[in-house]
Amino acid sequence: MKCKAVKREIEELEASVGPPVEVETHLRSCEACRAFSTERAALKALVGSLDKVSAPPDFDWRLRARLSEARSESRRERRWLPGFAPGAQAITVAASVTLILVAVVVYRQTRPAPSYKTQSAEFAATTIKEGAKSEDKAAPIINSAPVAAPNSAKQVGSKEVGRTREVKGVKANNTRTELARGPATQQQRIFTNDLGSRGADDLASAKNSYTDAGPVISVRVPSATASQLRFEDGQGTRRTLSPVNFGGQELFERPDKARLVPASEKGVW
Amino acid sequence: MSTLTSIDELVFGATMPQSVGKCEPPTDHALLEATRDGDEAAFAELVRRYRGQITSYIYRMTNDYDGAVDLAQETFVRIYRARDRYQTSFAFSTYIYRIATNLAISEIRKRKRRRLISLTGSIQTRDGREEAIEINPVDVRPLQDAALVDAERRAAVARAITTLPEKYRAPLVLRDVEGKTYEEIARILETSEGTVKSRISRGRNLLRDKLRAYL
Repeated sequence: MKCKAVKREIEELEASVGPPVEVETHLRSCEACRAFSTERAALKALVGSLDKVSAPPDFDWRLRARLSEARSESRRERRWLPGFAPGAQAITVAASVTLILVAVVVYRQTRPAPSYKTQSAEFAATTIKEGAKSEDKAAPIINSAPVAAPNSAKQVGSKEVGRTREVKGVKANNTRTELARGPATQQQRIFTNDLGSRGADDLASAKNSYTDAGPVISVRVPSATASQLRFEDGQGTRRTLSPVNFGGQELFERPDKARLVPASEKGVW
Repeated sequence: MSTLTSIDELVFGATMPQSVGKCEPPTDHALLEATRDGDEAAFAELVRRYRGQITSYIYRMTNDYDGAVDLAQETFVRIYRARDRYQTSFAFSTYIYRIATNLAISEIRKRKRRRLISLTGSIQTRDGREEAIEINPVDVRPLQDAALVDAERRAAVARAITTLPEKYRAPLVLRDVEGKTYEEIARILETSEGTVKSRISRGRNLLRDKLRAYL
Protein backbone atom coordinates (compact mmCIF):
# COMPACT_ATOMS: atom_id res chain seq x y z
CA MET A 1 0.00 0.00 0.00
CA LYS A 2 1.35 3.39 -0.93
CA CYS A 3 1.95 6.18 1.56
CA LYS A 4 -0.57 8.46 -0.14
CA ALA A 5 -3.34 5.93 0.17
CA VAL A 6 -2.39 5.21 3.79
CA LYS A 7 -2.50 8.89 4.69
CA ARG A 8 -5.88 9.23 3.06
CA GLU A 9 -7.13 6.25 5.04
CA ILE A 10 -5.81 7.77 8.26
CA GLU A 11 -7.32 11.12 7.41
CA GLU A 12 -10.76 9.70 6.79
CA LEU A 13 -10.68 7.27 9.65
CA GLU A 14 -13.69 7.33 11.89
CA ALA A 15 -12.84 8.11 15.46
CA SER A 16 -14.47 5.02 16.83
CA VAL A 17 -12.96 2.67 14.28
CA GLY A 18 -9.35 1.51 14.21
CA PRO A 19 -7.22 1.51 11.05
CA PRO A 20 -7.51 -1.41 8.65
CA VAL A 21 -4.97 -4.21 8.85
CA GLU A 22 -3.24 -3.10 5.64
CA VAL A 23 -2.72 0.37 7.07
CA GLU A 24 -1.37 -0.98 10.34
CA THR A 25 1.05 -3.16 8.42
CA HIS A 26 2.25 -0.18 6.42
CA LEU A 27 2.62 1.97 9.53
CA ARG A 28 4.94 -0.56 11.11
CA SER A 29 7.29 -0.29 8.16
CA CYS A 30 6.96 3.44 7.26
CA GLU A 31 8.17 5.95 9.79
CA ALA A 32 6.77 8.99 7.93
CA CYS A 33 3.31 7.55 7.82
CA ARG A 34 3.58 6.55 11.45
CA ALA A 35 4.51 10.10 12.39
CA PHE A 36 1.62 11.38 10.32
CA SER A 37 -0.77 9.00 12.03
CA THR A 38 0.46 9.99 15.49
CA GLU A 39 0.20 13.66 14.68
CA ARG A 40 -3.31 13.34 13.31
CA ALA A 41 -4.45 11.35 16.30
CA ALA A 42 -3.06 14.00 18.64
CA LEU A 43 -4.71 16.76 16.68
CA LYS A 44 -8.07 15.02 16.70
CA ALA A 45 -7.74 14.44 20.42
CA LEU A 46 -6.87 18.08 20.95
CA VAL A 47 -9.82 19.35 18.98
CA GLY A 48 -12.07 16.71 20.47
CA SER A 49 -11.07 17.81 23.95
CA LEU A 50 -12.98 21.02 23.55
CA ASP A 51 -15.82 21.21 25.97
CA LYS A 52 -19.31 21.15 24.69
CA VAL A 53 -21.12 24.24 25.79
CA SER A 54 -24.77 24.10 26.68
CA ALA A 55 -27.54 26.55 26.07
CA PRO A 56 -28.13 29.06 28.87
CA PRO A 57 -31.01 28.52 31.30
CA ASP A 58 -32.97 31.41 29.86
CA PHE A 59 -32.63 30.10 26.32
CA ASP A 60 -36.26 28.94 26.15
CA TRP A 61 -37.61 32.13 27.68
CA ARG A 62 -35.71 34.29 25.24
CA LEU A 63 -36.72 32.08 22.34
CA ARG A 64 -40.37 32.38 23.36
CA ALA A 65 -40.04 36.15 23.31
CA ARG A 66 -38.48 36.06 19.87
CA LEU A 67 -41.09 33.70 18.53
CA SER A 68 -43.81 35.92 19.93
CA GLU A 69 -42.23 38.85 18.16
CA ALA A 70 -41.98 36.82 14.97
CA ARG A 71 -45.67 35.99 15.24
CA SER A 72 -46.57 39.64 15.66
CA GLU A 73 -44.60 40.47 12.55
CA SER A 74 -46.31 37.66 10.72
CA ARG A 75 -49.72 39.03 11.71
CA ARG A 76 -48.71 42.50 10.55
CA GLU A 77 -47.55 41.10 7.24
CA ARG A 78 -50.82 39.26 6.74
CA ARG A 79 -52.73 42.52 6.97
CA TRP A 80 -51.13 43.59 3.77
CA LEU A 81 -51.62 41.99 0.45
CA PRO A 82 -49.78 38.69 0.05
CA GLY A 83 -46.26 39.32 -1.04
CA PHE A 84 -46.66 43.00 -0.37
CA ALA A 85 -44.44 44.16 2.43
CA PRO A 86 -45.58 47.12 4.56
CA GLY A 87 -42.65 49.17 3.43
CA ALA A 88 -43.54 48.56 -0.18
CA GLN A 89 -46.68 50.68 0.09
CA ALA A 90 -44.78 53.69 1.30
CA ILE A 91 -42.31 53.20 -1.51
CA THR A 92 -45.14 52.93 -4.01
CA VAL A 93 -46.78 56.12 -2.78
CA ALA A 94 -43.48 57.99 -2.85
CA ALA A 95 -42.75 56.70 -6.34
CA SER A 96 -46.23 57.72 -7.55
CA VAL A 97 -45.88 61.24 -6.17
CA THR A 98 -42.45 61.57 -7.73
CA LEU A 99 -43.77 60.32 -11.05
CA ILE A 100 -46.62 62.81 -11.01
CA LEU A 101 -44.26 65.67 -10.20
CA VAL A 102 -41.91 64.65 -12.97
CA ALA A 103 -44.81 64.40 -15.41
CA VAL A 104 -46.01 67.89 -14.47
CA VAL A 105 -42.55 69.37 -14.86
CA VAL A 106 -42.00 67.63 -18.19
CA TYR A 107 -45.40 68.79 -19.44
CA ARG A 108 -44.70 72.36 -18.46
CA GLN A 109 -41.32 72.24 -20.11
CA THR A 110 -42.47 70.66 -23.36
CA ARG A 111 -45.91 72.13 -23.98
CA PRO A 112 -46.04 74.36 -27.07
CA ALA A 113 -45.59 78.03 -26.27
CA PRO A 114 -47.91 80.61 -27.85
CA SER A 115 -46.49 81.69 -31.19
CA TYR A 116 -45.87 85.28 -30.35
CA LYS A 117 -43.32 85.68 -33.08
CA THR A 118 -45.81 84.74 -35.75
CA GLN A 119 -48.47 86.93 -34.30
CA SER A 120 -46.01 89.76 -33.93
CA ALA A 121 -44.87 89.43 -37.54
CA GLU A 122 -48.43 89.44 -38.79
CA PHE A 123 -49.19 92.43 -36.70
CA ALA A 124 -46.08 94.24 -37.89
CA ALA A 125 -47.06 93.65 -41.52
CA THR A 126 -50.48 95.14 -41.00
CA THR A 127 -49.29 98.05 -38.95
CA ILE A 128 -46.54 99.02 -41.36
CA LYS A 129 -49.16 99.57 -44.01
CA GLU A 130 -51.27 101.52 -41.62
CA GLY A 131 -48.27 103.45 -40.38
CA ALA A 132 -47.35 104.43 -43.93
CA LYS A 133 -50.76 105.96 -44.39
CA SER A 134 -50.50 108.01 -41.27
CA GLU A 135 -46.96 109.25 -41.54
CA ASP A 136 -48.00 112.84 -41.38
CA LYS A 137 -50.28 112.25 -38.48
CA ALA A 138 -49.15 113.16 -35.06
CA ALA A 139 -49.00 110.69 -32.27
CA PRO A 140 -51.51 110.71 -29.49
CA ILE A 141 -50.69 111.90 -26.08
CA ILE A 142 -49.44 109.21 -23.86
CA ASN A 143 -49.14 109.57 -20.19
CA SER A 144 -47.02 107.33 -18.11
CA ALA A 145 -46.67 106.93 -14.43
CA PRO A 146 -45.01 104.85 -11.75
CA VAL A 147 -46.59 102.08 -9.95
CA ALA A 148 -48.44 102.23 -6.76
CA ALA A 149 -47.08 99.33 -4.77
CA PRO A 150 -43.47 98.17 -4.88
CA ASN A 151 -44.52 94.68 -3.94
CA SER A 152 -46.48 94.28 -7.11
CA ALA A 153 -43.35 95.01 -9.09
CA LYS A 154 -41.60 92.13 -7.43
CA GLN A 155 -44.47 89.88 -8.18
CA VAL A 156 -44.57 90.63 -11.85
CA GLY A 157 -40.81 90.49 -12.21
CA SER A 158 -40.45 93.78 -13.93
CA LYS A 159 -37.21 94.80 -15.57
CA GLU A 160 -35.67 98.18 -14.98
CA VAL A 161 -33.76 100.13 -17.57
CA GLY A 162 -32.00 103.00 -15.85
CA ARG A 163 -34.73 105.01 -14.26
CA THR A 164 -37.20 104.30 -16.99
CA ARG A 165 -39.18 101.35 -17.88
CA GLU A 166 -40.02 100.48 -21.44
CA VAL A 167 -43.12 98.66 -22.43
CA LYS A 168 -43.17 97.58 -26.02
CA GLY A 169 -45.49 95.81 -28.27
CA VAL A 170 -48.83 96.53 -26.69
CA LYS A 171 -50.90 95.07 -29.42
CA ALA A 172 -54.49 95.98 -28.86
CA ASN A 173 -55.65 96.01 -32.43
CA ASN A 174 -58.62 98.27 -32.05
CA THR A 175 -56.89 100.83 -29.94
CA ARG A 176 -53.63 100.69 -31.79
CA THR A 177 -55.16 101.16 -35.17
CA GLU A 178 -57.06 104.13 -34.06
CA LEU A 179 -54.07 105.54 -32.31
CA ALA A 180 -52.02 105.22 -35.45
CA ARG A 181 -54.59 106.71 -37.71
CA GLY A 182 -55.88 109.35 -35.44
CA PRO A 183 -54.53 112.83 -35.06
CA ALA A 184 -52.69 113.97 -32.02
CA THR A 185 -55.66 114.81 -29.95
CA GLN A 186 -56.51 114.52 -26.33
CA GLN A 187 -59.07 111.90 -27.21
CA GLN A 188 -56.62 109.06 -27.58
CA ARG A 189 -54.65 108.46 -24.50
CA ILE A 190 -52.87 105.83 -22.61
CA PHE A 191 -53.04 106.19 -18.90
CA THR A 192 -51.21 104.57 -16.12
CA ASN A 193 -52.49 104.29 -12.63
CA ASP A 194 -51.23 107.68 -11.54
CA LEU A 195 -52.22 109.53 -14.64
CA GLY A 196 -51.07 113.08 -14.76
CA SER A 197 -48.69 112.86 -11.90
CA ARG A 198 -45.63 113.03 -14.08
CA GLY A 199 -44.13 115.96 -15.84
CA ALA A 200 -43.90 116.97 -19.46
CA ASP A 201 -40.61 115.16 -20.03
CA ASP A 202 -42.22 111.87 -19.39
CA LEU A 203 -45.02 112.65 -21.74
CA ALA A 204 -42.64 113.68 -24.47
CA SER A 205 -40.54 110.56 -24.23
CA ALA A 206 -43.59 108.43 -24.25
CA LYS A 207 -44.88 110.25 -27.27
CA ASN A 208 -41.61 109.73 -29.13
CA SER A 209 -41.60 106.11 -28.29
CA TYR A 210 -45.06 105.76 -29.63
CA THR A 211 -44.19 107.61 -32.81
CA ASP A 212 -41.07 105.59 -33.47
CA ALA A 213 -42.81 102.37 -33.03
CA GLY A 214 -45.76 103.24 -35.16
CA PRO A 215 -48.75 101.28 -34.10
CA VAL A 216 -46.68 99.31 -31.66
CA ILE A 217 -46.94 101.35 -28.54
CA SER A 218 -43.80 101.90 -26.57
CA VAL A 219 -44.37 103.53 -23.27
CA ARG A 220 -41.53 104.80 -21.15
CA VAL A 221 -42.45 104.58 -17.56
CA PRO A 222 -40.34 106.59 -15.12
CA SER A 223 -40.34 103.79 -12.64
CA ALA A 224 -39.68 100.14 -12.74
CA THR A 225 -42.88 99.41 -10.98
CA ALA A 226 -45.58 100.15 -13.51
CA SER A 227 -48.37 97.80 -12.92
CA GLN A 228 -51.21 98.88 -15.14
CA LEU A 229 -51.96 100.70 -18.37
CA ARG A 230 -55.25 102.26 -19.27
CA PHE A 231 -56.30 103.04 -22.78
CA GLU A 232 -58.81 105.53 -23.91
CA ASP A 233 -59.62 104.91 -27.51
CA GLY A 234 -61.23 108.26 -28.27
CA GLN A 235 -64.71 106.83 -28.37
CA GLY A 236 -65.36 107.14 -24.71
CA THR A 237 -64.24 103.58 -24.00
CA ARG A 238 -61.51 102.96 -21.51
CA ARG A 239 -59.60 99.76 -21.44
CA THR A 240 -57.22 98.53 -18.87
CA LEU A 241 -54.21 96.34 -19.50
CA SER A 242 -53.04 94.45 -16.49
CA PRO A 243 -49.59 92.94 -16.25
CA VAL A 244 -49.24 89.23 -15.80
CA ASN A 245 -46.18 87.23 -15.04
CA PHE A 246 -45.35 84.66 -17.66
CA GLY A 247 -42.10 82.75 -17.61
CA GLY A 248 -40.35 85.47 -15.66
CA GLN A 249 -41.26 88.04 -18.31
CA GLU A 250 -43.72 90.78 -17.64
CA LEU A 251 -46.58 90.90 -20.07
CA PHE A 252 -49.60 93.03 -20.52
CA GLU A 253 -52.83 91.28 -21.05
CA ARG A 254 -55.45 92.62 -23.37
CA PRO A 255 -58.88 93.11 -21.89
CA ASP A 256 -60.27 90.42 -24.16
CA LYS A 257 -57.30 88.18 -23.20
CA ALA A 258 -56.65 87.44 -26.83
CA ARG A 259 -52.91 87.93 -26.56
CA LEU A 260 -50.12 88.40 -24.19
CA VAL A 261 -47.47 90.86 -25.14
CA PRO A 262 -44.10 90.88 -23.46
CA ALA A 263 -43.09 94.05 -21.75
CA SER A 264 -39.43 93.26 -21.52
CA GLU A 265 -36.66 95.38 -22.91
CA LYS A 266 -36.23 93.06 -25.85
CA GLY A 267 -39.80 93.52 -26.82
CA VAL A 268 -41.97 91.01 -28.57
CA TRP A 269 -40.63 87.49 -28.71
CA MET B 1 -51.83 16.97 19.16
CA SER B 2 -52.59 19.82 21.50
CA THR B 3 -52.97 23.28 20.10
CA LEU B 4 -52.01 26.21 22.23
CA THR B 5 -53.80 29.46 21.80
CA SER B 6 -50.87 31.64 22.72
CA ILE B 7 -47.14 31.43 22.36
CA ASP B 8 -46.88 32.34 26.02
CA GLU B 9 -48.40 29.01 26.89
CA LEU B 10 -45.46 27.32 25.26
CA VAL B 11 -43.18 25.72 27.83
CA PHE B 12 -40.26 24.11 26.12
CA GLY B 13 -39.50 20.69 27.35
CA ALA B 14 -42.29 20.76 29.89
CA THR B 15 -44.87 19.13 27.74
CA MET B 16 -44.59 16.45 25.17
CA PRO B 17 -46.76 16.21 22.13
CA GLN B 18 -49.67 13.85 22.55
CA SER B 19 -48.49 11.75 19.66
CA VAL B 20 -45.46 10.69 21.61
CA GLY B 21 -45.71 7.04 22.27
CA LYS B 22 -44.53 5.37 25.39
CA CYS B 23 -41.94 3.29 23.57
CA GLU B 24 -40.46 5.34 20.79
CA PRO B 25 -39.96 9.07 20.75
CA PRO B 26 -41.30 10.81 17.69
CA THR B 27 -38.88 11.50 14.90
CA ASP B 28 -37.76 15.02 14.08
CA HIS B 29 -39.87 14.92 10.95
CA ALA B 30 -42.95 14.00 12.94
CA LEU B 31 -42.31 16.81 15.37
CA LEU B 32 -41.90 19.35 12.64
CA GLU B 33 -45.02 18.17 10.86
CA ALA B 34 -46.88 18.50 14.15
CA THR B 35 -45.47 21.99 14.51
CA ARG B 36 -46.74 22.76 11.05
CA ASP B 37 -50.18 21.67 12.19
CA GLY B 38 -50.03 24.11 15.08
CA ASP B 39 -48.64 21.88 17.82
CA GLU B 40 -46.39 24.18 19.80
CA ALA B 41 -45.35 21.42 22.17
CA ALA B 42 -43.85 19.52 19.25
CA PHE B 43 -41.72 22.50 18.40
CA ALA B 44 -40.72 22.78 22.05
CA GLU B 45 -39.47 19.21 21.88
CA LEU B 46 -37.43 19.98 18.79
CA VAL B 47 -35.87 22.94 20.57
CA ARG B 48 -35.06 20.79 23.55
CA ARG B 49 -33.33 18.24 21.35
CA TYR B 50 -31.16 20.62 19.40
CA ARG B 51 -30.58 23.77 21.44
CA GLY B 52 -27.40 22.44 23.06
CA GLN B 53 -25.89 21.05 19.87
CA ILE B 54 -26.58 24.14 17.83
CA THR B 55 -25.36 26.52 20.50
CA SER B 56 -22.16 24.51 20.91
CA TYR B 57 -21.58 24.24 17.18
CA ILE B 58 -22.02 27.95 16.57
CA TYR B 59 -19.87 28.70 19.58
CA ARG B 60 -17.03 26.64 18.08
CA MET B 61 -17.45 28.48 14.82
CA THR B 62 -17.47 31.95 16.31
CA ASN B 63 -15.77 31.56 19.70
CA ASP B 64 -18.35 33.96 21.12
CA TYR B 65 -20.83 32.45 23.54
CA ASP B 66 -23.39 35.26 23.65
CA GLY B 67 -23.33 35.57 19.90
CA ALA B 68 -23.68 31.81 19.58
CA VAL B 69 -26.76 31.77 21.80
CA ASP B 70 -28.28 34.58 19.80
CA LEU B 71 -27.61 32.80 16.52
CA ALA B 72 -28.92 29.51 17.88
CA GLN B 73 -32.16 31.22 18.76
CA GLU B 74 -32.29 32.81 15.36
CA THR B 75 -31.88 29.33 13.89
CA PHE B 76 -34.98 28.10 15.72
CA VAL B 77 -36.94 31.21 14.81
CA ARG B 78 -36.16 30.62 11.15
CA ILE B 79 -37.17 27.01 11.37
CA TYR B 80 -40.43 28.02 13.03
CA ARG B 81 -41.21 30.66 10.46
CA ALA B 82 -40.35 28.36 7.57
CA ARG B 83 -42.10 25.32 9.01
CA ASP B 84 -44.54 25.22 6.11
CA ARG B 85 -41.74 25.12 3.57
CA TYR B 86 -39.79 22.32 5.24
CA GLN B 87 -39.33 19.25 3.06
CA THR B 88 -38.68 15.86 4.56
CA SER B 89 -36.33 14.81 1.79
CA PHE B 90 -33.36 14.82 4.16
CA ALA B 91 -32.70 14.65 7.87
CA PHE B 92 -33.89 17.45 10.09
CA SER B 93 -30.46 17.60 11.71
CA THR B 94 -28.97 18.37 8.31
CA TYR B 95 -31.57 21.08 7.83
CA ILE B 96 -30.97 22.74 11.18
CA TYR B 97 -27.18 22.51 10.91
CA ARG B 98 -27.33 24.05 7.46
CA ILE B 99 -29.26 27.02 8.80
CA ALA B 100 -26.89 27.34 11.74
CA THR B 101 -23.86 27.12 9.47
CA ASN B 102 -25.19 29.79 7.17
CA LEU B 103 -25.93 32.08 10.09
CA ALA B 104 -22.50 31.47 11.61
CA ILE B 105 -20.69 32.10 8.33
CA SER B 106 -22.75 35.23 7.79
CA GLU B 107 -21.77 36.44 11.25
CA ILE B 108 -18.11 35.66 10.61
CA ARG B 109 -18.22 37.69 7.40
CA LYS B 110 -19.94 40.56 9.17
CA ARG B 111 -17.21 40.61 11.76
CA LYS B 112 -14.59 40.54 9.09
CA ARG B 113 -16.19 43.56 7.47
CA ARG B 114 -16.30 45.34 10.76
CA ARG B 115 -12.66 44.40 11.19
CA LEU B 116 -13.20 43.42 14.75
CA ILE B 117 -10.07 42.24 16.43
CA SER B 118 -10.56 38.97 18.18
CA LEU B 119 -8.58 37.81 21.16
CA THR B 120 -6.18 36.03 18.90
CA GLY B 121 -6.11 38.73 16.30
CA SER B 122 -5.34 37.98 12.74
CA ILE B 123 -3.29 39.48 10.00
CA GLN B 124 -3.59 39.00 6.31
CA THR B 125 -0.62 37.79 4.38
CA ARG B 126 0.29 39.28 1.05
CA ASP B 127 -1.70 36.64 -0.79
CA GLY B 128 -4.82 37.49 1.24
CA ARG B 129 -4.73 34.52 3.59
CA GLU B 130 -5.23 35.07 7.27
CA GLU B 131 -2.63 34.07 9.72
CA ALA B 132 -3.09 33.91 13.43
CA ILE B 133 -1.14 36.09 15.75
CA GLU B 134 -0.75 34.68 19.19
CA ILE B 135 -1.44 37.70 21.33
CA ASN B 136 -1.32 35.37 24.31
CA PRO B 137 1.57 33.12 23.42
CA VAL B 138 2.11 29.82 25.07
CA ASP B 139 3.44 30.28 28.55
CA VAL B 140 6.34 27.87 28.88
CA ARG B 141 6.65 28.22 32.60
CA PRO B 142 5.42 25.19 34.50
CA LEU B 143 1.97 25.59 35.95
CA GLN B 144 1.12 24.09 39.25
CA ASP B 145 -2.46 23.33 38.41
CA ALA B 146 -3.03 20.81 35.63
CA ALA B 147 -6.55 22.11 35.19
CA LEU B 148 -5.16 25.48 34.24
CA VAL B 149 -2.95 23.81 31.67
CA ASP B 150 -5.92 22.07 30.14
CA ALA B 151 -7.95 25.26 30.16
CA GLU B 152 -5.16 27.12 28.47
CA ARG B 153 -4.77 24.43 25.87
CA ARG B 154 -8.46 24.31 25.10
CA ALA B 155 -8.58 28.08 24.80
CA ALA B 156 -5.67 27.99 22.37
CA VAL B 157 -7.38 25.33 20.28
CA ALA B 158 -10.62 27.31 20.23
CA ARG B 159 -8.77 30.43 19.15
CA ALA B 160 -6.88 28.51 16.50
CA ILE B 161 -10.11 27.16 15.06
CA THR B 162 -11.60 30.61 14.78
CA THR B 163 -8.61 31.76 12.76
CA LEU B 164 -9.23 29.13 10.10
CA PRO B 165 -10.82 30.29 6.88
CA GLU B 166 -14.55 29.67 7.01
CA LYS B 167 -14.50 27.14 4.19
CA TYR B 168 -12.17 24.94 6.25
CA ARG B 169 -13.59 25.83 9.61
CA ALA B 170 -17.14 24.61 9.12
CA PRO B 171 -16.30 21.11 7.84
CA LEU B 172 -13.54 20.68 10.41
CA VAL B 173 -15.78 21.60 13.31
CA LEU B 174 -18.59 19.45 12.00
CA ARG B 175 -16.22 16.52 11.64
CA ASP B 176 -13.83 16.73 14.59
CA VAL B 177 -16.01 18.53 17.14
CA GLU B 178 -19.54 17.54 16.24
CA GLY B 179 -18.60 14.09 14.92
CA LYS B 180 -20.67 14.24 11.75
CA THR B 181 -20.01 11.84 8.90
CA TYR B 182 -18.62 13.07 5.61
CA GLU B 183 -21.95 12.40 4.00
CA GLU B 184 -23.81 14.50 6.54
CA ILE B 185 -21.29 17.31 6.25
CA ALA B 186 -21.60 17.26 2.49
CA ARG B 187 -25.36 17.61 2.79
CA ILE B 188 -25.13 20.36 5.38
CA LEU B 189 -22.65 22.35 3.34
CA GLU B 190 -24.34 21.43 0.07
CA THR B 191 -21.18 20.23 -1.54
CA SER B 192 -19.58 16.94 -2.54
CA GLU B 193 -17.98 14.49 -0.18
CA GLY B 194 -14.69 14.82 -2.01
CA THR B 195 -14.66 18.55 -1.42
CA VAL B 196 -15.48 18.03 2.22
CA LYS B 197 -12.62 15.55 2.68
CA SER B 198 -10.20 17.83 0.93
CA ARG B 199 -11.21 20.84 3.01
CA ILE B 200 -11.02 18.94 6.27
CA SER B 201 -7.53 17.71 5.41
CA ARG B 202 -6.34 21.21 4.59
CA GLY B 203 -8.00 22.60 7.67
CA ARG B 204 -6.21 20.07 9.82
CA ASN B 205 -2.89 20.95 8.27
CA LEU B 206 -3.48 24.63 9.04
CA LEU B 207 -4.55 23.78 12.55
CA ARG B 208 -1.50 21.59 13.06
CA ASP B 209 0.75 24.49 12.15
CA LYS B 210 -1.01 26.77 14.61
CA LEU B 211 -1.04 24.25 17.45
CA ARG B 212 2.37 22.71 16.95
CA ALA B 213 3.34 23.72 20.47
CA TYR B 214 0.61 21.56 21.92
CA LEU B 215 1.16 18.46 19.80
